[in-house]
Amino acid sequence: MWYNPSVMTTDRLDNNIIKGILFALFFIIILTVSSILVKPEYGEVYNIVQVNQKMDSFKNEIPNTIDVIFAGNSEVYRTFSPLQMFYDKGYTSYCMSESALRLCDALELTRASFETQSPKIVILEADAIFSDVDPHKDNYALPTNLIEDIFPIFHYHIFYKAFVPKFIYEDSVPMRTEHALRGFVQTDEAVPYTGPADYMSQGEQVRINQYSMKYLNMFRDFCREKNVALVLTAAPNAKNWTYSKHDSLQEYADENGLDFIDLNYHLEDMGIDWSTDTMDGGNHVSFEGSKKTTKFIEDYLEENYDLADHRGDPVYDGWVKDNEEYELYP
Amino acid sequence: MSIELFIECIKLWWDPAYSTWMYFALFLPAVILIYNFVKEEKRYLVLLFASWFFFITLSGWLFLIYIAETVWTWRIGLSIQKVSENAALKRKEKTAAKKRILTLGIISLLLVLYILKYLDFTGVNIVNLLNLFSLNLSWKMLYIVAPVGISYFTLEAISYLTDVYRENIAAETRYTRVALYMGFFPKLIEGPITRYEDDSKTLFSGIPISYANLTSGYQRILLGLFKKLMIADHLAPAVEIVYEWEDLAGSVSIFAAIIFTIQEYMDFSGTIDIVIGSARVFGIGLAENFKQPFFAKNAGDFWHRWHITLGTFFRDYIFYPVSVSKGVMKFTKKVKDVFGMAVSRLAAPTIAIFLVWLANGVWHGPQWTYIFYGMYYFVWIFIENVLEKPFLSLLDKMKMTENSVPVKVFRAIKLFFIVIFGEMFFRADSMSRGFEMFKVIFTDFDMKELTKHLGDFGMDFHDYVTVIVAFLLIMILNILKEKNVPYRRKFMALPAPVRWGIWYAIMMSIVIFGAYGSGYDAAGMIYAKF
Repeated sequence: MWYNPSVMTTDRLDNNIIKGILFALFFIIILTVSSILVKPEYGEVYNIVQVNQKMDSFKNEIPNTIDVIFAGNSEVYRTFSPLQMFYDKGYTSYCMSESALRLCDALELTRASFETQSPKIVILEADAIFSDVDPHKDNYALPTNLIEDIFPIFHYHIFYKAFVPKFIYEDSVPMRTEHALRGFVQTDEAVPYTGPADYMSQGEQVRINQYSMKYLNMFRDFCREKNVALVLTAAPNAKNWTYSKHDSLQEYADENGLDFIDLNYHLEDMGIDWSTDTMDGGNHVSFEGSKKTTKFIEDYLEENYDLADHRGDPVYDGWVKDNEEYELYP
Repeated sequence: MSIELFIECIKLWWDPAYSTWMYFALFLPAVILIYNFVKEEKRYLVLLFASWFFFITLSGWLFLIYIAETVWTWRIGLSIQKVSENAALKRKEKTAAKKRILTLGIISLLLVLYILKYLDFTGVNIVNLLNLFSLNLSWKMLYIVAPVGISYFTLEAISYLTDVYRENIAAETRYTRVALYMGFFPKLIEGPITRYEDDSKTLFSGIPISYANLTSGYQRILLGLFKKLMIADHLAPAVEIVYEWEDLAGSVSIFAAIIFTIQEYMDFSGTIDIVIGSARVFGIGLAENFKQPFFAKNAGDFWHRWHITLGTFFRDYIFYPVSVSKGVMKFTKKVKDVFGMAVSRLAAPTIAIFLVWLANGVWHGPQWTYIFYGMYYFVWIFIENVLEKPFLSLLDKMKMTENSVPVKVFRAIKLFFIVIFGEMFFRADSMSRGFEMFKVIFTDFDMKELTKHLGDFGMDFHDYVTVIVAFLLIMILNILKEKNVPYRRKFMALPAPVRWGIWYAIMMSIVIFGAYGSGYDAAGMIYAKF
């Protein structure tokens, strides 16, 4: 029988207790050492895989060729097309964005982009700012977050995924597309938005919470330190964007002397038609919608910043080839 | 404070699932600690209250259905016992009275199960049938939610009452013991479906926590976590995606069925390892539910090794009673008169096996795919029963035995296809989808369709490597078990530093390569929904 209800001698019991304590102690030491080894040295990151994979992809760009960084979550890669901007104006940009990317990770990607590039402008999309949780924490029960704080190995345990064998991604279609479109995600999906035209009056009253404020200030300070412009923007979003969010961010922009371009206030200027220009009933713009939003933002950049037109420069031939290959523009 | 608010508060602090760290590192140690400080005869009450806490955090108010069923089962058991002990009744009268009470007990338990799980299904199908006659009826879906584990504890209640009726056991006078038998927290969600007679040997004994049981139990839990987090949960997103793949090709269909079979086995057997390990910590022995199913020689043998306790339940409470029932005996006699002895020998088992597999399919849930799955195995097992003798004589003529390598290879290939085709339908959202997946294997089989999309199934390169390596390790362990190699004894004979090193390596593998935390959606337990 595997179960043993027999009475043990005191010596034996003590011996077993010591063995048990030693076993647990060694395990705690292993967890502590591995936690020290895997915790990212560049600060607080939520999704280490998203961040590392994006960085890997971004490093394929020729150094010092990117002028504009778009930072944020999926709203960014649906709204702003770097390839279109190059085709129209010759400006180079990159969408440093991922699905449901948290603000702390957007900051980390922005910081990382300066390791190989010298961007002139950082454009931060607002959707990631209005999250109601600490960007660095999971929506777990409290003890799980606590244990992740004590032993970061539990949070960053997938660190090894950053090391992808080259043969895996060389011919990978998603990787190739990600790089060719500079992080923009193109889709033919279009599901009309059929709700009220004044969608911004819907929803609850919200303010930028303390967690987001912390990272927003870090964005501001980082851009000041690098002497680049930080522009806040909000993509057209009939599902989640409200006057309350707008006012809250406008207040922050005014207090800090930042530009805030809320595209929801320029729907008519851009010619957004909710029956064709959203891919999912108002949450993200469709490919057709992105043509209009990108046009708007590139015109804004042309008017307000002195960015170089790189068209015709042989260093940027890759951009032309990618556009020819994917046939997105004109 | 409402129960919902209480649960919300509790959930801030703990997540009730077997594969979360809080289960084995917080909940279980807390129960062990309290259990150890309570008097021996009261220890089972600690397990009962821990089980109720676990149940409430999982099912909220639905916990009351469990309470009602346990009270009902306990009272019905006592009523049967009372009749058994009534010396004033004659044997026949006693049997008839006991049967009436047993029937009342079983029907009421099945009725509750039916209402909670199958009412919408039958309603929709009856309406669809009637609409064939242009009646234009509709069924308003009720979407009734059942408490977790109801399919398991209902079968346990039936087995308890039947065993009391058969006088294999005496009815339990203490309600708390029946309640613990039906709701013991480790086996609450996915079984195993145990017998009162077996559980009662250790469940209520209050066996002191010993070093041997503690280490052995936690080692088994570790094995379960390895299977679930390293294999099953990595495969979970891929299974979701491939079963809904739009450009279906034969290679994708086969891939879908294979990875689902692996996921299901690792998820279910991994959870059972955690369940058995948790009980073992308290010195409680629960029945095994798996015995290297992929080394079975045929479909029948497969089901003697896969979800064993469900199979033995159906064997003892459907197959045997049906086989010897008056109606079936009469039918067998008629068959013998018309077709002769050889055919009549198959009649009774075939009827019983048909009912067993119909029950098996229905038990899995209100879906035609499950009923088809049951019938699918009925057909295979029937064919095997019919062909077994001719096959053995053929082997004899070819001067081969069941242990000859070509026979083993043939059987392994046959079983592989039987199992994966079965799982293809079992997991499919509908029968039409199942048939569509099956059809493309023969009409559109192109390996390139699979290889070019491997990166699109929600698993990356590392996930594939993790799953393959972990799967091979588990298979090696299964081979050792199948060959009765005393690997555990050999392992324990290793020097302590080596043993500890191996344990740390396994634990750190799960910590690093396990599918949990940010970047992974928590995968539920597959058999929890049945």
